Amino acid sequence: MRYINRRALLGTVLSLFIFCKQVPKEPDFCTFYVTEQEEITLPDSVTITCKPLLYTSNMTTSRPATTFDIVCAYIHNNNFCKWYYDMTVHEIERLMKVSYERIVSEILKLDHLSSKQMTELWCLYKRGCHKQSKVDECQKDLLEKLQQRKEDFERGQQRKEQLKKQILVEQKRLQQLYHEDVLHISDQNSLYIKDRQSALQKTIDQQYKKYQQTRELDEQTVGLCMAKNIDYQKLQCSNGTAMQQQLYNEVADCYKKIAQWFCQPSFSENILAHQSLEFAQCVTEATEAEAMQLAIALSDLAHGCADTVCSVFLGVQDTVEGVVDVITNPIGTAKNIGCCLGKVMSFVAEAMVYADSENLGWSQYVQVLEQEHQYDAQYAQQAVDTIKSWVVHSSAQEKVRMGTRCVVDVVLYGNVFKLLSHTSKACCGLIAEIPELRFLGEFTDVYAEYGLATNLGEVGLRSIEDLGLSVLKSEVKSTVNSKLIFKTIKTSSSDGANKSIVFQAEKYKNYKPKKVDTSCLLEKNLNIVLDAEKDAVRIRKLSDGRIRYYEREKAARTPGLTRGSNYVLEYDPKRGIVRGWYESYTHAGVVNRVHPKMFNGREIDSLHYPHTGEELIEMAAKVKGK
Amino acid sequence: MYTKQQFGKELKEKVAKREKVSAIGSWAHKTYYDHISEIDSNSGIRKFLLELGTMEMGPEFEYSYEELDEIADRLIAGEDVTL
Repeated sequence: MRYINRRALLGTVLSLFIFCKQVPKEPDFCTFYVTEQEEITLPDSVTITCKPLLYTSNMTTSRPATTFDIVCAYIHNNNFCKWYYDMTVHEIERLMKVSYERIVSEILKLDHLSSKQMTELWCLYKRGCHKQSKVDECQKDLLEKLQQRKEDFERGQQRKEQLKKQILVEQKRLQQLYHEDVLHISDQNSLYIKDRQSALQKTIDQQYKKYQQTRELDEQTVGLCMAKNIDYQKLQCSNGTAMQQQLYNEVADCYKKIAQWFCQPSFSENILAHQSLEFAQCVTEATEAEAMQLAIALSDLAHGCADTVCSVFLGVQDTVEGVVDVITNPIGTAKNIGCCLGKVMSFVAEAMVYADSENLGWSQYVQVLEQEHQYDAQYAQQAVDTIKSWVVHSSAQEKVRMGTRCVVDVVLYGNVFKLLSHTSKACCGLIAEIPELRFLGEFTDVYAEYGLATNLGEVGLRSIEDLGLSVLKSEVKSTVNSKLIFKTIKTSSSDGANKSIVFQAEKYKNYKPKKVDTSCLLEKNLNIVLDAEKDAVRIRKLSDGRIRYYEREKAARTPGLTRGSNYVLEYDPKRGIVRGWYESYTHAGVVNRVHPKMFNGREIDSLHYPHTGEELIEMAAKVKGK
Repeated sequence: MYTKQQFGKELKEKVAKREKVSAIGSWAHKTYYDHISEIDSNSGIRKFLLELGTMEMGPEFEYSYEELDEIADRLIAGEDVTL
């Protein structure tokens, strides 16, 4: 047993006062049997027995025992020093001989040691010191430095904690970003639905890892990109998650689609082709910014435009070759062109509302839309011709059956398209704000199911046709004049319909989409469905899984064609969509009118289908007034 | 909690202002969705509001102002009103 002097003991007590929380684990080779727990002020009667396993002698003391006692006892043992301080005895001895001026800095250099171990070494050093003033000075200095070191360490720990939190937040963000809901925005007719699903799954399986992917672009596509100053190299070698790579693939496909028409003489006049290319570039940017929903919607939009371009070019070719003699479904052609765009535009508008549009989607989308375009004269003329042809050749019954919904759609979607082309973000606001535009497409199946719009009067139909034709004619005129349509209308056109559109656009010029808390909507939807289920007098399950809840029918209060009316709530569990409408019945129980009221918990301000007499009068008055 | 009495008071105001009856019907429907989380599902107010909403489906479903005023009074008095 080695002698432990009083100064060492005092040093121990001092060091333990300061660093008592940091007692390291005792060495394995030495088991202590302490009758009382080690404390700063141990009474002299405390006895410890040390039974070193690697050392031959047992150690027994009647003095207070601390790790410093052990250090004092074994400081000349090389094995102990190596194990405890990761230093040789020689190094320790050299340290004990340095001057007062250097001792603090030398101890602090031993960065691998804990503060307690440093203090122990200081105490060892102090045992051989004689100048009390120097000792006090060094000790004060050391304690200050150690305190500073401790604070630095704590700051480091805090930084680590923050980093951990950031990683968790990022993980959560990625989980939300790549949640399966992201695909709900996909156009149901998109060819990429399955690819997107598998890419999303792959992204999740790969823990959102990003990787590089190269893709081949044919010469024609590269030529198109070079001519249009598109950065195609981004696509040739892209970096991203599997989902991002999928969207880059879609962009590449879109360029390829357009490239096949690149050499057509009318290509440069085709606004749809340009729009498709620009939307595709937006997909790239949105994908880079990880605005996945927006990127998906824009991709659908880009492909929608590209497909329309293909059909327009094919149509032109067919006409030239004289292959098509009769347009079997003229209004359908016009409708498809307008509807195709209108539908995807609605998706984009939805995406912008739901996505973090202010930071990501909005600015990117606006960049494209802020560039003013010429309208596609060919398309507009074709649409006018087909409508005219249909008006002349179809029977009254056909007009009534097909006309109402389709022409209204053409007019409405035509407006949407025009606005999108020429008044950039104003139109997006319009789409987002006017439920009639946004939700028209969502209820067309209901109108079709009931074969509605069968009693629309000729006045109403003509009014709608007139409005549609005037809109389209002005488009052609403006394009032929090669003037920017928005400015033309604003400054010189006397066309009422267009003035109205410009007015609407102006109204929403400074529109910024609101952020929507979808979790709140989900809860609302759930409440709506539960209430409807409880109160329903009839429940009808449709073959595609949709469930309709019918409220009690309220009888008409005056005699007439209509027997009664009730509220219907439809829940589509597959798409998570809830929509509600009023429908009224004839005495034979046939639905004769529908009024959309709610879509996913949101109130809709819609017209009745077919329109009520009051609505028709209002519409006719508007057209007449203009 | 959104009650029938509360709705009755609001209805009375609308009637007093002689707002269009079809617009009142539309408002009744909107009221349900605006207050969906505050409506007791056992109170029957949902059914009442949706049925009153049929007034916007055409003149054949409309009540007169006098009738609506009476309905409002009965609601305020806490009576069970069936349309």
